[in-house]
Amino acid sequence: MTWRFRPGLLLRLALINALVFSVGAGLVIFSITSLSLKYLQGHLDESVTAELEILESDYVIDGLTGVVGLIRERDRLESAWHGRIYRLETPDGQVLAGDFPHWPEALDIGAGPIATSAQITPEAPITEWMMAARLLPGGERLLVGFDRTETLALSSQIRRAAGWSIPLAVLLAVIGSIAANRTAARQIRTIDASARRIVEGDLRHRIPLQGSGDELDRLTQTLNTMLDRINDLIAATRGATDAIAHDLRTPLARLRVALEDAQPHPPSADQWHPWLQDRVDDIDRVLGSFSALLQLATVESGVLRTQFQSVGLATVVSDVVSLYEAVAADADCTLRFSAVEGNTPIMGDRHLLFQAIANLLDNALKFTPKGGQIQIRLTREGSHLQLEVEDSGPGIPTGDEERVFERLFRHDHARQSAGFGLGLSLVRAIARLHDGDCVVVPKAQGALLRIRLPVAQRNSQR
Amino acid sequence: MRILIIEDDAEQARFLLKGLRESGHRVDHAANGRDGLFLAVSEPYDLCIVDRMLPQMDGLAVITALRAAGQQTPVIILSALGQVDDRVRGLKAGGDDYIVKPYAFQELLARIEAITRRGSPTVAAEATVLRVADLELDRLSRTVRRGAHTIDLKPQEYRLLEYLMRHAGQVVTRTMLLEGVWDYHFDPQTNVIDVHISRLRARIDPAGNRPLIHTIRGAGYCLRDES
Repeated sequence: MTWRFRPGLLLRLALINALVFSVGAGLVIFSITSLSLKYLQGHLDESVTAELEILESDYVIDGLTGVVGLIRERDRLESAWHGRIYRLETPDGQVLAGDFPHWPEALDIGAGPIATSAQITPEAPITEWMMAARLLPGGERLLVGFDRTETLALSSQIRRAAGWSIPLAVLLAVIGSIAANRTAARQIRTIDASARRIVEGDLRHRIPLQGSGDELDRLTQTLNTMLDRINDLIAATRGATDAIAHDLRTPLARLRVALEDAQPHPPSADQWHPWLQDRVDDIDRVLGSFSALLQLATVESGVLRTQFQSVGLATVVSDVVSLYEAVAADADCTLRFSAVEGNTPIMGDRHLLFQAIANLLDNALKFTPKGGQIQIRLTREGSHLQLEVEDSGPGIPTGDEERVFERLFRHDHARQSAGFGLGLSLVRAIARLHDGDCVVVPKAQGALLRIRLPVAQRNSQR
Repeated sequence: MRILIIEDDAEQARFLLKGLRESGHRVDHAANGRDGLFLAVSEPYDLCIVDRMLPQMDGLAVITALRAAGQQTPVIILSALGQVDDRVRGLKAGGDDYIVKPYAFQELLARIEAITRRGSPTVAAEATVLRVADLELDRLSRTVRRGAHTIDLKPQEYRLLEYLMRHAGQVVTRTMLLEGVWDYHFDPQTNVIDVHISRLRARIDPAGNRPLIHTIRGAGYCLRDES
């Protein structure tokens, strides 16, 4: 099998990205340019109109001489071919003030400003003007022009800038997208290579993180968590298989010996029936052990979480206690149950919870001598419910606090008694299935086992 | 009763046929799903016992087809798949009960009786007074009498006895008792049910009286008058 990494998808994404970015940048540059140009032009138009209005109002206040004086004053401040230019003439065309050499034909009196080119003196270069004219109340005509040279230069600079910045933006977009996607592609290639290593049998390999905390890193983390979970499941299955092999071999060997022995020495006629029943019991023990191991494996796999419902733990505990009261009385033990909480619901499977608590009581009863005591306490500790089962038996030896939860671990005292050595393994598996745990609390006298289970969240989405 | 067994394993089928015939039933056998379905729709059976995994047509498919054809014959599913969701799937497909292999034959008999009684509303389910021999349970006043003596029972003992008397004459397994009396489906690893039974037995079968609660080895218990 050959695996080749083809960058088709990423390249496509990069190009689409670049295209979108380029179009966007182009639009922005285009609108900035046209707005700037429009502003420059508008500014010039307004200046022309405003100047005309100033002169017009001066005519109303100071009369013709006032306006002529004002124009001369302005001409003195400005050079003739740079800045502003004026022409004030009588109705018959006689110049009263201003340097503009002739009345331009295109200019309509009273209309908006127009652009025109003119040579002011024979030595001067041809210049560009924006000009407008008014008819003064005395019949004189007034012309005002503003030099366009600077505006035109600025406009062409803006156009040039826009002209080269659009291709630059496109280029940057393409380079940036490709660079960004190369990073992603490298990470995807890393994930791909790691996955291949795992497929080829290196189950402990994990995908290296880039440490960037981005989406691909999060995906990598999720994949690693998934791999860990799969590993746990494989380990659990392997554990179950080992346990089945180990735990079933012994009773099957015993059965085989009995059957083999019966061939040369068949049981006598009156022994025949009980002998057969003993063999059936042997097989039932094997089957019981088998289904206990399977149940443990199922609980450990976590699939049962899908059928969780809201369960009142106090109800389940008191149901178990009422079932076991008779057994305790027979064993001459006192069973005391105290609940310091009001049946807070947890999310869970009531049958499994019942099984777990029953196993704890089974266990406590097994080890408590005649006349002993078993105390069951249910309390609430913050966001958890805590169930403690305490007996007055010999207790759990230091160092065995964790081993009691191992499959097939049997205390020396328990080796002869009933059960498959899976009771506490199942209790812990059930507690963990419910996001809780079961531990042995070290104690000087007797054994104390504690289950902690999280209280159901309101509006829980499990 | 006419019973149809759909089971592909010849040895198990032979064992079932023999056992059920000995219990007085008329039994037919089909070795694959298609033949089984054909028989089930064409003959008036009182009960079908269907293996989950069958050649040609899966056991659940047989049941679904049977129900789709409007047949309400009770069905017991036999299966080596014993997980809760397997049971649920089996019952959803239209099965009436689900027994996990391997099972004790007595348990199967018990379930057969329970199911066929469930079908016809029996006196036992409705009667206010249950009677077996000289044992009498009044469900209205919640009193129990053996002969002339009134027996005081704790609520749990009362419920246990009521369950046994409702199923008088049938074998009742420990699992059935846990489900029926305590309403939990779980697997007792110790003798917890036996302790309850022996306490109840001490109350209703005191020395000198004919014992009514019998232990069926490898299966469970049966309340019956063996006179």
